[in-house]
Amino acid sequence: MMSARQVDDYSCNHENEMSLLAQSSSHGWPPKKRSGRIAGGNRRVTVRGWPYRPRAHDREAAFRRRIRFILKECIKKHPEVSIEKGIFDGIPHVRELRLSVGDVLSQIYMRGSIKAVADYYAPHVTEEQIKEAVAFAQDVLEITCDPH
Amino acid sequence: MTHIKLVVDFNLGPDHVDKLNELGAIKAKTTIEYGFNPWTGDDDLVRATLDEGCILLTRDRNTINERIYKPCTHGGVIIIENPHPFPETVFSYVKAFCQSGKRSLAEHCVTHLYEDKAIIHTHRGSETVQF
Repeated sequence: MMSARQVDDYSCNHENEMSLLAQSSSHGWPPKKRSGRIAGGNRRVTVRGWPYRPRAHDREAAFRRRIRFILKECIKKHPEVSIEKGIFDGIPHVRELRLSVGDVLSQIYMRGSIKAVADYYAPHVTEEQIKEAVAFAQDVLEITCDPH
Repeated sequence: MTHIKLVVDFNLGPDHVDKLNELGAIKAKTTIEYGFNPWTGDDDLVRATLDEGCILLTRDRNTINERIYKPCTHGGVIIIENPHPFPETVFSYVKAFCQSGKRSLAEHCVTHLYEDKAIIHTHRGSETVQF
């Protein structure tokens, strides 16, 4: 436990926070949650025992890693779709074509059918490739939005 | 009248080329007609615009942008900022840009083309052209 003096001296700047955490970590791992009042004020401050709180960019990086993992998993099921870096810098696209999965969905929206899209890009794209891209998009969406 | 040579990205397709050629001030061709493969990488395509003396028209704003391709390292890139680029939509965007009097700025620069404006990233920073 922290002494009353330690609590009084505590302020919310980073150095104090780190020293408090260093102190608490010496009592065991993981460190306990500690709280006290900021000197000269009534606001009660709680310091979480975990020494490192993820910031926004860390959360974003973790989200990107998760999305990347999901994409790689879905690619295994849909070999006609690729995330190679050369084309669109790794955005999911039809294998060896400058046609992203987003483009495929956009074209289906505009042209109304898979056959119409395949005809539009013929002879470079087949109907099967378009279907694979749609199935891939569905899989990614379902896995990403799965709350469990 | 000076013609703008446009190379239309594979994902936009031939309908856009036909529609754009109706404009008169534009000579548009697809990447296939320019001799590129459908699987040509972003970098190869953008660098080739310098040799061909043309401007790339694409929808790919994630990987082809002003942060990656600085002014004068390529022939020019026009990015259509619309998730559903119908040929008529692209035609109206490009037509408005051509009539704005600033189309010459698009050469060797990255231009983002919206419904009502164009943002051109030049050496002197970004310039917004309202239609």
